[in-house]
Parts: sequence; structure tokens; C-alpha cells
Amino acid sequence: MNALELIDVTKEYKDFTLDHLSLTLPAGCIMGLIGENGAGKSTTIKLILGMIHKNEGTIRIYGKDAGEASTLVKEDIGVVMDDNGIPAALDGKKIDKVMKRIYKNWNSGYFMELLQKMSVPVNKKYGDFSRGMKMKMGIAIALSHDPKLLILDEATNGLDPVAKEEVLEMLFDFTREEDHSILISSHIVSDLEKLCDYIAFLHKGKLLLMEEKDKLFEEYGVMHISRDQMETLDPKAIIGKRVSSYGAEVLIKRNEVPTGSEISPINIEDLFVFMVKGGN
Amino acid sequence: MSGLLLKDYYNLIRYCKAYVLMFFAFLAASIFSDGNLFFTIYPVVMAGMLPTTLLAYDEKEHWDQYCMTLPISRKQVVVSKYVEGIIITGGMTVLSGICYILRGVINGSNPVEGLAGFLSVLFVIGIAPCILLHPINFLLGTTKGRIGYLISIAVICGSAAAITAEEFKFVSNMMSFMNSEFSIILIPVITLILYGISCLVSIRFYEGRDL
Repeated sequence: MNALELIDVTKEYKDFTLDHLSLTLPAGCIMGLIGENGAGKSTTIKLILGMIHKNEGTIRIYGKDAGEASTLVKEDIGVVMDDNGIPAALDGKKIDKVMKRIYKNWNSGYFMELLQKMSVPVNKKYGDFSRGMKMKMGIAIALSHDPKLLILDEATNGLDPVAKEEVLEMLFDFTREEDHSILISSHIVSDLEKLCDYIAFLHKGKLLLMEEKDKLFEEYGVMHISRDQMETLDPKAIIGKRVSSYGAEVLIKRNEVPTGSEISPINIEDLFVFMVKGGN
Repeated sequence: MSGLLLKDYYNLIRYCKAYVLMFFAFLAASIFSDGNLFFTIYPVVMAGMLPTTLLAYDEKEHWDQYCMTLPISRKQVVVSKYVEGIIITGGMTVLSGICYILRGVINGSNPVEGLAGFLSVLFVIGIAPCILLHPINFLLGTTKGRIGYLISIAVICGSAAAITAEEFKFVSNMMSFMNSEFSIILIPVITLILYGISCLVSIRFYEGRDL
């Protein structure tokens, strides 16, 4: 079963359109949604969660229409937003009391355990937390009702390296369960590279690519060659290039270049930048 | 929905302490006010506005978006604010009623004479502004809803000035009208029906809104 399916989803604003987006996140997998600021990542997540209304298309979460069964479906989803909307007046104990009345499966013991594990003070008001603490609180809430799907929108942005590592560790822990899935968006690609099974690139509201991460590494590579050598390559093989007076760095499809060519592996960040910039 | 009510209770305690102190000061003043209804009516009108204030805090803290990630429907969000309106206004009306009785006892008059009509008027005055305000808030957000709020306050203040100028004739006439058994029941019932219709309209507006 798929944890998440978006089929031809369109959302139109005056100055931006999320254009016929189709995504599939198989259950048990982690998908990284990558795109520059304003690419449509948050719009996509807001559509999935029903915060905004789509103009066209279908969204299914574990096979159920996201609109029709939203409150039921959300029992199985944990969400961490870039700007968590937890009331500033609440401390850990009050958050626990409120969430206990909202989630059927809320586990107070586990919530307190997570806060302790992440060194989040229970008696301090949320409004007085640092950004890292706020994110940890958001993650503790998202994990304390036994969700199957985690949706994280820019959740690692602005975290210091130690806090980021702790957050990523918790996400790894979450995915140890076979049917647990994660959709995580970020414009900081290195965060996602370690974590994800699938990568989706969004650019100006359009899906550039959705593929298994390992397949991307198998499929694409970088050649560091001279301009003259670049001219000899089959244009079909070239996805993007950076040309300077010293030579060219060319993103190529491995199966389109002659065997024996010297090809370096590519990282996801470079792949994204090459794809966005294309031939420029 | 109890989670939403509890969250708003915590917010109320945190952000609206000044209102609560003011309510008690006004209610205490109403006991010794020798018939000046301002001290009685004003806190109830302000209490009726508290759900709007809480809604504004929800928007400021992005709770309105965050709660859409929780198993909470938009309908529950709207209904919770209307329920809070009834609880807060109802509570203030009861407290005002107690002050009305105390004033009667202190003045040596019959403390329950006209009480039912008085409570009816207060309750209606408390929740009536929300009948118009909440749909605007849920359609456009509280920033624009505040314009509606300011217009309502201007109307209320203008009415209060007219009432003062007419030496409470309007209130006296209204009170005598409200003191008829028929009106004591009918007016609050009509107001509650309108409140319910306002709630349905707000749900419709909020369900169609992008957050």
C-alpha cells in the first residue's frame, strides 16, 4: 500500500501554480521533497493536510481520500512544521493535557520520555523555547500518538548541528518500524541525502524528477572535462553543465556516454542544482 | 473538541488576566453604582468579545494552521469558539445577576424584581455582536474582523450615549418590554437561534478558506 498518493494535483494562486503534481510515497519509505524557496514544497504539504484547497486532482493517504476522511486519517499522521503553531502559553504538561484530549492514541508516558530524552524542559513555556527546542517539542508531539506517517516541512532548518543530528536520529528510530513512512521537505539537501529512499525535485511548482535515491546515483554522474571534450558528447547525455575558462563540469546520464568514460559520483545537491539550472 | 476548549482556557488565563481583573472591578462598581448600567453592561459586552480575542491569538501563533495537522475538523474549531462565547457570556451574565441581587439587598429594594428581564437583556447584548463578527472572522481572519469589531463598538458606544442622554428611557422601555414573560424567553431564544445560524455560516466560510 502507498502511504501517500498525489495524482495530478493543481493549486493556482495569482502568482504561482503548483502544476499537476503527481507523487507516490510507498509505505515504509522516506521521501525527500527538495526545492528552492517558493518551489511549492509547503504548498504541497498544506494540500496534503487540507490547510488549503486544491483546484484539481486527488490526494490519498493510506488509500483514503485526504479530504473526506481527514480527521480519521490524521490520527495516523504526525506533522512538524517549520513554524509550529503550538501556543506560546503552554508548557510540556499543558501540551500533554491538550493533546490527550485531541488524539485517541495519545501516549503521555512516551511523550514525557521523549522530552526527557531530548532534554526539553517540561515546565518551561513553549514561547520561551529556542528554535531547536521548539522543533524537538514538535517532533515529540508528532511521535507520541503512534503515527504511521510523518510529514516534516523544513523541520531541520535553522537547527544547530547537534540538534540537527538528534532530530535525524529520532527520524531514523521512527523508520525502524517497517510500515512507518516519512515525507520530509527541505531546501537543505544534505539533510535529506542521508535519510531518504526517494527524492522528488520541485521547481517553480513543477515536479522535475521523482526517483529512488540509489537509482539517481546509478543513473547520473559528473564528468570533469574540457570544453572540446564536452562538444563530443551526445547532447542527449547532457542534463546540465557548468562551463568555466578552466573546463566543464557536466551532469550526464551514465548510460548515454561511452563506456570507460571517467565519471564521478554526484551528490543530490549538485544533481538538483544542475537540473534546475540546466544548460546555464 | 475538549482539547480546543482546554487550550483556549490556558490562553485565556495567560493573555486575558487584565480583562478578568477589569470584569471584577466593573462588577464590584456595579453593586454600588446606584443604577448606572454602564458598569454592568460593559463587562458582558467585552466578555462576548473574548472568543474573537482568542481567535486572534490562534492566528498570531499559527495555531489555526497547526490544528489542521491534528485530528480536528474545521467545524470543531468554529463550534468551539461559539461554545466559548456561550460559556463566557453566560458566566458573566450570571455574575452580573449576582451583583444585581446584591445591589438590591444593599439598596433595600426587592433584589429579584426585574432580574429575569435584566439577565435576558445582558445575555443578548453579550452574544449579539458575535452573530455578525464571527462569520467575518472565519471568512477573512481577525485582522479584517477587527474592523467589524470597531464598528460594533462604535454602535454600542453611540447607543450608550443615546441611552444616557435619554436618561435611561430606552433601557427602561426595553426592560419593561423584556420584563414581559413572553419577551424574557422569546428574545434570548431568537438570539440563540441567530447565534446558531451564525455558527453554521461560519463553518461554511471556514471550510472554504485557505489557511
